[in-house]
Amino acid sequence: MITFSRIDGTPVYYWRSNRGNTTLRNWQCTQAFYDSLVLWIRDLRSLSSGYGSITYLVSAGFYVNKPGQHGAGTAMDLDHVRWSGGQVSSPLDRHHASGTQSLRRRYLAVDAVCRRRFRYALDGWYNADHEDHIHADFAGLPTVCQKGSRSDTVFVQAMCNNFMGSGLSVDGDWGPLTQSAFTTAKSRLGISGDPHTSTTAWRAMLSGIARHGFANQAI
Amino acid sequence: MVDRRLCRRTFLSLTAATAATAAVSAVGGGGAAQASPVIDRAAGPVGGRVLALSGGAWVLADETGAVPTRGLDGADVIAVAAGFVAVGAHGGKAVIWESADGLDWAAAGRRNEPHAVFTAVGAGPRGTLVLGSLLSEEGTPVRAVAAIRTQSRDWLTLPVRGLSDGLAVTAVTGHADGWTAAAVDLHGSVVFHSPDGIAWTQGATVPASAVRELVGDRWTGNALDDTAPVRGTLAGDREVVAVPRDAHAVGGGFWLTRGTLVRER
Ligand SMILES: [Zn+2]
Repeated sequence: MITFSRIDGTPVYYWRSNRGNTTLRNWQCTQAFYDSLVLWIRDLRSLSSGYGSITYLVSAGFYVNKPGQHGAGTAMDLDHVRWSGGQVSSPLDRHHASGTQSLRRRYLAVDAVCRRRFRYALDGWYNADHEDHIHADFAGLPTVCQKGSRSDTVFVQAMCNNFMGSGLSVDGDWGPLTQSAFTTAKSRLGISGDPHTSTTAWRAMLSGIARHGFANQAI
Repeated sequence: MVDRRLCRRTFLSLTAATAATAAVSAVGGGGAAQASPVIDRAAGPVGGRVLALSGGAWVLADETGAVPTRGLDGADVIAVAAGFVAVGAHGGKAVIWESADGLDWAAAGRRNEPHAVFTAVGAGPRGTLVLGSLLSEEGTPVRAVAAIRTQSRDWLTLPVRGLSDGLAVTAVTGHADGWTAAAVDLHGSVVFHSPDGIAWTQGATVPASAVRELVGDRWTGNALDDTAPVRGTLAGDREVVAVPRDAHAVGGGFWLTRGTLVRER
């Protein structure tokens, strides 16, 4: 387990007991998880470069003394991202359910970048316990899109609804309507290969979703 | 009160019991314990030492050394309690192990669901209570489950009401009035009380701390806002413990820092 206060130079704050606090914290995680956090924030910077640099992140925890991925030091709970251009994406403020489409799309962009480097990612559509943060962990690597996973299915359904107006029910069941919308999104994003079996194809699709999300563009 | 028996496996053979006696004698005789190995994870205190994972094997360790245990190969042990009861998961299923000495362990009960884990065990005047969760495919808690061992020595499943289904219980302790348990959420720990292990009511919250051990109304754990080693009382006191700043609470006065067990000074 290693101790850190910044990920690749970007500070990570804790707001759960005092919103807006910018005191540097000692977080812990495994070295392998930290290495993935660095790849993740570099993906995030590169895909959101139109917003400027990332000023800070806010987290509810990495290593936490409890069972599961947090206890193993291989999980992150992401509360908030702030860019130098003034933009924010705030799972803490339930942006997945915002009345503003651009905030929902930006949330899905951040969610997509988490899915490039972690598995599982649990978001506001997954269940009520995750409606105020995005959880990202090492539980089920490698990163591919699994039709049998509720986590992946609700993400795909919410993505198709918010970028293509698919009108799917976000229920976690991968049925024919979800399949059809997914195929359309994959085609419009120009993805070759199978995101269900190829990490390369799934990551390419997630990058495409993130670019559209940060630019607030339909797919 | 109880709905059904856990399927029970008993294979504490004469051979195993004999081996255990020999191992205890060797430790007692001195010199048999290996020099302190690197501890990867600690399940909790048992018999004055710590049941811990080291190099993929479960050992009984303290700050001076470790001895190997038997019967826990491939297990994911999460917690232990006085009376040599360990709980956790094996092959995705929630399992309870028992031991006579902390060295030889045997599975004593398990649940049949494909994704479940027992996460806390505590002893008290009314027996030994085990709490855990059924898990989603992604590994998140979806329903609280419980088992109890009373004078009968058999493990019995208990129906559970009022425990937060989405949180993993991290500590439970027994007392004259029943049971107190703690579960960790994003803001701190939530404390629950029950007279019988079945019906639970929410009590105090412990802000910004993950409670790892409950003894009476005192708790030990780690801060959520910076992972510092902390302890306090359910009345609301909290103080940083004089161990290395990155140490993880294990229980029984032990802390784990950089692969080494230490005790509070
Ligand atoms: Zn989490």
